[in-house]
Amino acid sequence: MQNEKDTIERILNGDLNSFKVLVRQHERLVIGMVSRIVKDQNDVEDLCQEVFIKVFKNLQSFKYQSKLSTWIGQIAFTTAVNHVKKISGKKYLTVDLEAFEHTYHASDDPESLLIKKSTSAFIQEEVAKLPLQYRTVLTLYHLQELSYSEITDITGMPDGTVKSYLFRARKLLKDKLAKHLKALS
Amino acid sequence: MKNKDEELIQEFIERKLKGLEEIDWSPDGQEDIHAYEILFQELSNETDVAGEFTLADKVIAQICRNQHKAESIKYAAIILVISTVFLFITILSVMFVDAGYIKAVLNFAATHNGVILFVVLSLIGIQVLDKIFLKKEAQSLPI
Repeated sequence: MQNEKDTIERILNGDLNSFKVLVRQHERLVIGMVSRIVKDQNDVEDLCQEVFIKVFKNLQSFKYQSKLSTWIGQIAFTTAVNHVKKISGKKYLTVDLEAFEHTYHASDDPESLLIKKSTSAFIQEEVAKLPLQYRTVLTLYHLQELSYSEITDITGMPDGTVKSYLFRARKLLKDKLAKHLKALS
Repeated sequence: MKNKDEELIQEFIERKLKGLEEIDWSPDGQEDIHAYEILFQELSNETDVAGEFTLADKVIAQICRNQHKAESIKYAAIILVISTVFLFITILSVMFVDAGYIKAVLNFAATHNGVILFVVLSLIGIQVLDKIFLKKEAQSLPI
């Protein structure tokens, strides 16, 4: 924490080398999150840059009420979600999750299951098909290894919702993967 | 399979993969367990996009560009304000100041042109040195 404070102090005094170190420390979090929320990979790089520019501009308003990574995660999440809203032209990105899960299960195409592709590619494709809420929670929990409370801080979703989304997303993916593995064998 | 069983399997696999103390429970459904194990491992792997571009370098370069742009805008604004004030004072002088005074000022400028030239050249020199200094500082930044 003290180390974090020192780094922030140096950045606020105009030390760009320290900011470069900060970007390197948190780029995995930002790239991972933005690339899961924004499907068009051409936009991911620009958005990641935008996130860190916002971090640089607003660093003086960081009050140490959360971890710096959580604060950066919030900025990344909001920036990515706002981009998706702008692209889709929708004010809200709420999805009927019940309806989605029904369609997701019903969309099993035996031919696509038989197409030989690596299990890894299959899972990544299936993750990309999930609603934004599920993708976000999966990424933050598994890829970034954040706790439920940190995910709550970043996304603003209640603790119970985070747990529920994580469970449901993993179950959906497991069902699909089990079918894929069966088709391969 | 019931959701409660699914929850237990998810917790079981998670603890196993994280090397935590395993829960005392023997789950059924080996296919599900196998699928969950593969899934959990894959979800922890980075997607291809991570690390493909040198984000830190690009961010720092962008910040430098933004700072340079802000400096240029500030510089242009100062020039504009000075020019406007100068123009305003000139108009006021022509309108309200006695022609005799203006003539006296112009005569002063004509007789002391060396001093005026020195002041003007000094100001230009300071500006040029400032620009060179700023440029050198910008080049030394870690881009």
